[in-house]
Amino acid sequence: MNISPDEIVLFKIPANIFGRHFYIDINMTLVGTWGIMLFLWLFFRYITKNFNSSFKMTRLQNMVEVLVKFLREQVEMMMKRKADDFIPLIGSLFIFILVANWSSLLPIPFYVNNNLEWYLPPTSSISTTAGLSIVVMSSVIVYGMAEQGIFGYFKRFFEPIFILFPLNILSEISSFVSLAIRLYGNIMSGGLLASILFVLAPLVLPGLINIYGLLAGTIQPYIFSVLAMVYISAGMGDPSESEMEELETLELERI
Amino acid sequence: MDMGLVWIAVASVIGAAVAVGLGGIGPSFAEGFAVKQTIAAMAQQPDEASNLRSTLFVSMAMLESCAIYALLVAMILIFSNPFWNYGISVVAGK
Repeated sequence: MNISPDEIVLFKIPANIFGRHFYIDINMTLVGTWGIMLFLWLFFRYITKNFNSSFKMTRLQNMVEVLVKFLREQVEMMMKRKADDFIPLIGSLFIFILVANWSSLLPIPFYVNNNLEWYLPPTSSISTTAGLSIVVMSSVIVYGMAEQGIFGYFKRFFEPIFILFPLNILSEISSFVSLAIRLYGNIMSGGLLASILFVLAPLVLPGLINIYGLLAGTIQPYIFSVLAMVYISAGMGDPSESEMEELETLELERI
Repeated sequence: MDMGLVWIAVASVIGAAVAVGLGGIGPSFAEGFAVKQTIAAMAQQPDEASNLRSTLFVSMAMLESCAIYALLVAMILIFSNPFWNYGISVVAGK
C-alpha cells in the first residue's frame, strides 16, 4: 500500500552535472502536478476565449465570474486592501489546491514495472505542500519589503523588544511549517482512511469517507488561502489611511 | 525473532495508539466548544450567520490540525519508524 505519491516513481531520467552521473526520479507528485497545471491552463484558455460582457454568457463563464467575485470579496475582507495586487497569487493557490484535492477521486491506473498503481493527488505529498508553503513565505517577504522597505520589514522581528528576536523568527518558521503539514495531513489522512476502510467494509464505507474527503478537500484550500492572506497582511503592516479610503470608495461604487 | 525487535514493535504500536488517543481528546473537546458557541451566536444573531460560519470553518481546521499532528506522529511510528530500521540493521549485522 502506497501512502505517498513520492514513492511511485513512474520513470527515471539520466542526468550528468559536473561529471557526476545520476538519475532524476519522475514520480507521481510531479506528473500529477503537471497534469493539473495542463488541465487548468487548457480549461481557462477555453473559457476565456469566448468571453462576452452581455447577459447572454455561457455557463462556464458564469461559473468563473462567481469564483473570481468570491475570491475578490474574501481578499478585500481579510486584507483591507485592493484585491488587484493579491488575486493572482491567492486565486492560483486556491484553485490549484482545490482541483488537486478533488482529483483524488479520479481512478487513473498506472503500470510501473508491471505493478498496478493508482493515482494519488499531489497534495497528499509533503513536497507539494512544502513547496506551496515556501511560495507563501517568499511572497510574505516580498510584499512586506515592497510595502515597508527592507529595514521596515525587519523591524517587525524586534518588536516589542529586541530580546524576543529568536522567538519571533521561530514563530515565523513554525507558522509556515504548520501551513504545509495541515494541508498534507488532512488530504493524506483522508486517502489513508479510505484505503484502510476498503479492507474492513469494501462496499459502503470507502464511498462515505470519500464524500467526507471531498468536504475536507473543499475547506482546506480555503483555509490555506485565508492563512496566506493573514500572513501576508501581517507582514505588510497596517494599511495607510489613503488606501482605506480608496477601498471604501470602491465598495461604495460597487453598491 | 530477536527480543529487541519485538520490544521496538510493541513500543511503537503502543506509542501510536496513545498518540492518536490522547491527541484526539483535546481537539475534539475544543471543536465541540467552538461549535456550541457558534450555534449560540447564530441563534442570537441570524443575520451574522454566514460570517460566523466562515470563521467557524477556519478555526475548526486550525483546531483539527492538532489532531492531524498526532496522527502524523502515529503514522511515522507505524510506517516509517527509524528505530525499527536501526534494529533490523543491528540484527542483520550480528
